[in-house]
Amino acid sequence: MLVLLLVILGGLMHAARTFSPAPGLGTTGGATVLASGFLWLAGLFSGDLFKHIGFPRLTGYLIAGILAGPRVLDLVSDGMVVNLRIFNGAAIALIALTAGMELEFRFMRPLLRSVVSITLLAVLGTMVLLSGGIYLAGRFDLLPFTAKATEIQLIAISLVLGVAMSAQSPAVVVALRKEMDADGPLTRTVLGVVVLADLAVILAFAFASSFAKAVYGVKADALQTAGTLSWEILGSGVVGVLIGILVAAFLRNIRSDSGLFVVAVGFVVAEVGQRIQLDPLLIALAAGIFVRNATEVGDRLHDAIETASLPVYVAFFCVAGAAIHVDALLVVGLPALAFVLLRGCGFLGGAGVAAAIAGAPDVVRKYAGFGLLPQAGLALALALIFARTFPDFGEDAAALIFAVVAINEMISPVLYKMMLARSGEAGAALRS
Amino acid sequence: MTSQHFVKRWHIPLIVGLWIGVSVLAAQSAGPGPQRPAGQGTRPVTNLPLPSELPPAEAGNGDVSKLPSPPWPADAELSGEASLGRLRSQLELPTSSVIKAILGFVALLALAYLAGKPQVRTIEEKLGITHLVTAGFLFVLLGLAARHPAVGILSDSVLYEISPILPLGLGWIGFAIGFRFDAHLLNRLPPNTGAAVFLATAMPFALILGGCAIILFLSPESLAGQPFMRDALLLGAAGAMTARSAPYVFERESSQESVTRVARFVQLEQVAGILGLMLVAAYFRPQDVGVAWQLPGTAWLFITMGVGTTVGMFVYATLAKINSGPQFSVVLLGSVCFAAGMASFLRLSPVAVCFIAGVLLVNFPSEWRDPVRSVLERLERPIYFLFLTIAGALWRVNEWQGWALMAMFVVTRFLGKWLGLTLAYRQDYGALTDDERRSLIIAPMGALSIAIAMNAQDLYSSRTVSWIVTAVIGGAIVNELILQVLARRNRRLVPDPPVQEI
Repeated sequence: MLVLLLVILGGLMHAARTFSPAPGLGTTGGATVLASGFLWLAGLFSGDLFKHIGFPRLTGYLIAGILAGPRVLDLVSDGMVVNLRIFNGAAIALIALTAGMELEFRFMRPLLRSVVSITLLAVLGTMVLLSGGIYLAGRFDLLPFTAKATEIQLIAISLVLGVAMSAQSPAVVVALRKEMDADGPLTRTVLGVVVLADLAVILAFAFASSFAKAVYGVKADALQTAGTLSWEILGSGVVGVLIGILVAAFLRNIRSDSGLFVVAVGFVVAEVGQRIQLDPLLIALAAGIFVRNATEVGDRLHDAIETASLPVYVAFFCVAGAAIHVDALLVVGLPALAFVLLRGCGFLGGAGVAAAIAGAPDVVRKYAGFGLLPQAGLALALALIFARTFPDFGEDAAALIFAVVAINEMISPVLYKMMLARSGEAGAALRS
Repeated sequence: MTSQHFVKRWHIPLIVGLWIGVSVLAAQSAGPGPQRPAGQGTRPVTNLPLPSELPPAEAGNGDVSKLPSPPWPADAELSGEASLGRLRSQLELPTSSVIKAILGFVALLALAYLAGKPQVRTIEEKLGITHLVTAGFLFVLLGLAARHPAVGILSDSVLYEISPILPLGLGWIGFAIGFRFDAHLLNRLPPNTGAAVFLATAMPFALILGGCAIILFLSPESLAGQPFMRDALLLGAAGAMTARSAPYVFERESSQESVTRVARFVQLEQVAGILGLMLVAAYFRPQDVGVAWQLPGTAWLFITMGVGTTVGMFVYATLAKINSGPQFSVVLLGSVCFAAGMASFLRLSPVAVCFIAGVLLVNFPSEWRDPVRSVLERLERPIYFLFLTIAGALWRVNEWQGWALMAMFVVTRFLGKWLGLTLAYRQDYGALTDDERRSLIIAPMGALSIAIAMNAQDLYSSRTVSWIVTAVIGGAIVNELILQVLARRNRRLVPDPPVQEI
């Protein structure tokens, strides 16, 4: 039945698209509404279908997006995807709010050592490993876009790309945790690591990028970079706490329509935050941490997010799928696969060693690395920044990152879901 | 054979069909407007006024050099993603303006949502406000203020960015109206109700069409080739609508039977209004470059019905599979978006397509009918308020054509309603009592007329849409004022209990 519905839906969408085949014309208000309706339904059916065959729903959303997207069936055009990115900000803010809500200090304190240890060893170690891999590939002329680079330039490119490729996805981790109703040391440790690693990647990318700009003679000001980063991180934290106070006041005094209110806050945080150089993810994260740890309305916020977030999540992951450059796989598929393997080795090995050093439970030692594999928005965003900063060769380098993200996006949620099931933490939230 | 017998034999469907036929002929005689060669005078498919269509008021004392920066070049033609990028870059605003617009728009949304709350409706009832446009007039003013350059919340570029709201809201309203249309009510109607509805809608429709067509024909836009008949048809359809609060207008203590009869009458009028929209959208096609389907109007009429039916069946199958839990909200939202988006993408009326889908859904057996109806109706009123805000932003108060149309609209509507309902009453069509006849004549205009005006904005981009807005919204308010004056004169006219139409 689901397959039949999907086929009918695809047929209807295809028929509609033939009405206005010119690419630029698919960008009206009607086209955006059509595409969002299509992706919601297709994503939902596909998610259900994937769940029936044992895969995460999330993979179903992503696959629906990939198939419908401009690079495969072109049912959703590039213009539509651009317009639908309005969901991204709200979704990221909601996901970060959820992640912040999960970071309850009294539960996290015992896991802090593992979290810091894994972040330092696995995440930073993988950055170094990937940078080394790119450097070597460049040295042996395996990457065409590094052909003209001098030694120092190659080092700079390697550092930036290594950092970008090591980015993880709190969105996928949070979504899978929700889908599997998982709870326990593994789930919490992975969540703590990906949140902390997000900060680490942003900082490392800023410094690596400044270094690369200086090497390539692009105007770069270290002081300005430091100032921007301070504003982004500290400013986001402060604004996040203020947002947390506002949300808590609403939940305490008004209560009704809290789901709608939270989505509206997520939208405003995302749209306004990025325009004043704050990080919506950090703002929402800080707000979530504040509400969970400093107020008594944490559970109420959790319920509000639960009721309102599904449409935003489905749209977000479908749009993420539609934006994946599957075509890049054809060109840079092999090197990308090599870097995916290298990245996987870095995270799995690094997390295992770090967890052992920190004395983490067995379940963390065995499986935490799998939670670090998923990749999505941040890596893509960093790739785009890189392409814009270095127009001469940035596009080719970005294509490599796109391909790495595409492979990880398709495989890693499935792996992490399997590990959550194997660890025994799946369904623990319901049981507790 | 007397006319009464005639009407008895050729009952509702054929009478409505006859009206469709008359309207089709009127539409065909008007023609789709001049054909333009591809590439000449073409424009991006969007709903904003072209720079050339911006009123002199925005130029400041008619100085064209001071016109606000247009959202795209005057000869812009979107032919690919590069053009899209160019358009987007031209829509970019300074950060502070963007933030102001975002916060302002979110505040407007919140206000519209809050105004739809039962507590606010209780306050309105205490004030004796019976009509949605009157209740929402504040939103029209807010829209007008938000559009002002000094405020800058609903600027051209913001209206462009929020353009998806129009089809979505229209589709939502279409679904909601369709969901109220239980086919069984047709079986329980008094004899010749179809004829009475036909007269009550066709008379004001015809008089408004005739009166407003003259004004529109004499306007410079018409002389420049704008299809004036299209706008006149839209005004006619809007004017034919009556508010659902009509049963309560005249009698302080209406009997339940009377209330039900008038309510059904109004419901059938809504069907007529939606048919009108369907026809206008089918026969007055936008002349965009790059549109692959070049079909005659009648084919578009069938496509409208086909899309509505297909989407309705599809949504029915979907809701049969998933109708509870958090996924239910995704299904409902996705279904409305898909149906409305499909209609708007094909340049059809989202209200009409979603109405057909809604009628299908509600008339098939299901367990999820009540929850779906409740969700649809919960957001209907806020959507209307949002539409009034957008209407306010599009309102060019300084254009005389709008005010002239409004005066003509009010007079011809009243005359048409009086004529149609008096004829129906004298022929004893629909078993209307004299009180019901009078209440239907002076009742406020239906909220669907706002949706008709907004549908014009979604389908067509011309300066005349602003005149339609003036005529419909201004006309509705004048109508309400007349009702209030009459209420003061005649105690029996006090709308007690004043029931909101939505």
